[in-house]
Order: sequence, then C-alpha cells, then structure tokens
Amino acid sequence: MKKQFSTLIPIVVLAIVVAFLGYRLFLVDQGQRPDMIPSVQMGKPAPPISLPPLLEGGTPLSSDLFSGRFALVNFFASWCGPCAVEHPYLMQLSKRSDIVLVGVNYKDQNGREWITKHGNPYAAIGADTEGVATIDFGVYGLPETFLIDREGIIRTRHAGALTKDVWAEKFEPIIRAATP
Amino acid sequence: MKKNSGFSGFSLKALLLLLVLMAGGVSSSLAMDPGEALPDPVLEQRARDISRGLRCVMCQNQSIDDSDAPMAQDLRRIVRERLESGASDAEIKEWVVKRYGDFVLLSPPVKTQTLLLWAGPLILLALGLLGAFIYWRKRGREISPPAVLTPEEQAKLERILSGKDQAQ
Repeated sequence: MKKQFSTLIPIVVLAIVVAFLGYRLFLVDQGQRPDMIPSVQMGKPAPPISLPPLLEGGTPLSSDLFSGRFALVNFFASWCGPCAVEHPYLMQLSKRSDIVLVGVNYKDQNGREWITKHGNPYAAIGADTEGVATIDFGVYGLPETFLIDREGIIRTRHAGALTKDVWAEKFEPIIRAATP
Repeated sequence: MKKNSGFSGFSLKALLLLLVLMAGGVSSSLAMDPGEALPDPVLEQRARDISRGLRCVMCQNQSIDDSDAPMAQDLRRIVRERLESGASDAEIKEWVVKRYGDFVLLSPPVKTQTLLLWAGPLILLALGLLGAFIYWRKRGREISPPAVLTPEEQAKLERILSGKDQAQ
C-alpha cells in the first residue's frame, strides 16, 4: 500500500501543473495574456497632461479640458494597425455628450495626414513627440485608452483596439454607476 | 615605373589600416545613439547601469539599454535628464515603477509578494533533496537481504550445489 501511494505523487504533481497551465490558457482565451501589463495607476489620480496641438490651429491638449466630465484619453499613431480598426468606433463615441474624447498622438510624423484622411473624433489632440504623456500614463503599446472620472481618477484602461464589446464590459458600467 | 608607386601605395595602406581600426572600435550596444550619452562619464555610467536594469515594456525581454523601440529611447533620455538634475538611482527607479509597476524592473524587488518568486527555486531544490533522501533511505532498507536461510532452504541449496540437478 505504501509503495502505491508514493508512485501517485508525480502523477499528482503533473495534474497540478496541467491544471495550472490549462487555467492560464483559459485566461488567454478570455483575452488576458501574460505579456499584458496590468495598469498600476488604476484608482489613482490621472497625471496632468499638457501637450501642443497636433493639428494646425487646433486646441492644445490639457487636463483642464476635462472639467468635471468623464474623459476618454486615447493613445494612437498612424503606424499602429489596431488604431485604424478602433477608429470608426471612436467616431461613434465622439458623438456622446457625457464624455470628452481626447487623443494623444505618440511619435508620429504622419499624424496630421492620418487624422485628415480618417476623420477626427477628438475634442483635442496632443502631439507627444517626446513620449512625456505616454510614459506618465504607463502606456506600453498602442492603442491604449484610459477612462478618467469626474474627479480626475483613472478608473479603467484598455490596451488594444477599443471595440463595442470592450466598451460595454469595461467602460459603460463605470459611467452608468456614476450617473444618477 | 616605381615599385610602390610612392603616394598612392601609402594611401591605400593607410586606408586599409583605418578600416581595420574602425571595425575593431564598433560599440557593442547598437541601440544607443552616441549622441545620447551624457558628457559626465560618472553620470553616464550610472545611466547605463540603471538602463540595464529597466525592462523595455514594448520588447519585453530586453532592457531599455538594448532595445531599439522608441519608448526605450524616451526612457533612456528621461533617465539621463533625471540624473543630470541630481536624482539618485533609487529615485529614478521609483519614478519608472510608479508608472509601470514592479514588472519594469528586470530584477524584481524582494517584497512579500515576490518572496515566493525568489524563494521558489530554493524551496523546490530542498523538496527535491528531501525526496531523494527519503527514497535512498527506503531503498536501503528494502534491499538488505535476509542473512539467514531457513533449514529447508539450506538443504535445498546443498542439494543443488552438490549437482543433484533438481531443475525446479
């Protein structure tokens, strides 16, 4: 009997490892890959933004623009594929009056042309040529979108293209909960 | 016609020598633009050391010292700007960690959360040694043969040895 018990041990260990790896695969299926870095700034005050305008004659991007409304800060660039994918949805979101949608154009020579070609969903676009705002927000890839509440706190962040489903799951509930 | 046509012979050798010397002097870190380096060598060395300990969050297995990504370039510049303004190594790392989390440090800090990460390999090694030790002790006990034969076994042994060929 004792002999049989000890031969079970490696099998049990294997089962645990397989279960763990299976769980991680399940998470990947849900969209959570290990290389995705969690935002450490959730629940913290958003870093102040102060950037020159991307468009000639455009409004400079400053956090003062948010003034007590929910703000959506979208980091994008012309060289980023998924940014083109989420763009039509951003155009839709821009029609809402309960949020201010602003853009941060990171390291982009062709930002202006891209916006002119695709359309401008943003109330203001900041040209972040030095990566100041991008690094302050802890952005590690494009596109990334942050939801900032009326008190200036970062409530949620999405890394990757912002879709209707992501919006419904992650962003809309927060806005609803804060709106009587 | 002169043998080593004087001037042109010399300049060809000089050119070859120059090329050889240049090849030997190529920097090992291709990601950094020499223009990024700080004029103060002590500060620059600190900058390189800090950069080697910071993960490039875009190319996640490289340090910002090694990576070509634009974000790595920005972070290298920020590290140097902060050094020039008098920040300590710890303050600079804290600045980056505040924005990106502990993950950005290539050498994870020893905190309660990372204790398992650090101790893990040692614990596994200890478990493995323990397991090997138990197995060795067990084997030792099982293998030790009975020292004495019963009288029947002794008789049987003698019959076989004396060649009575009991094919049993």
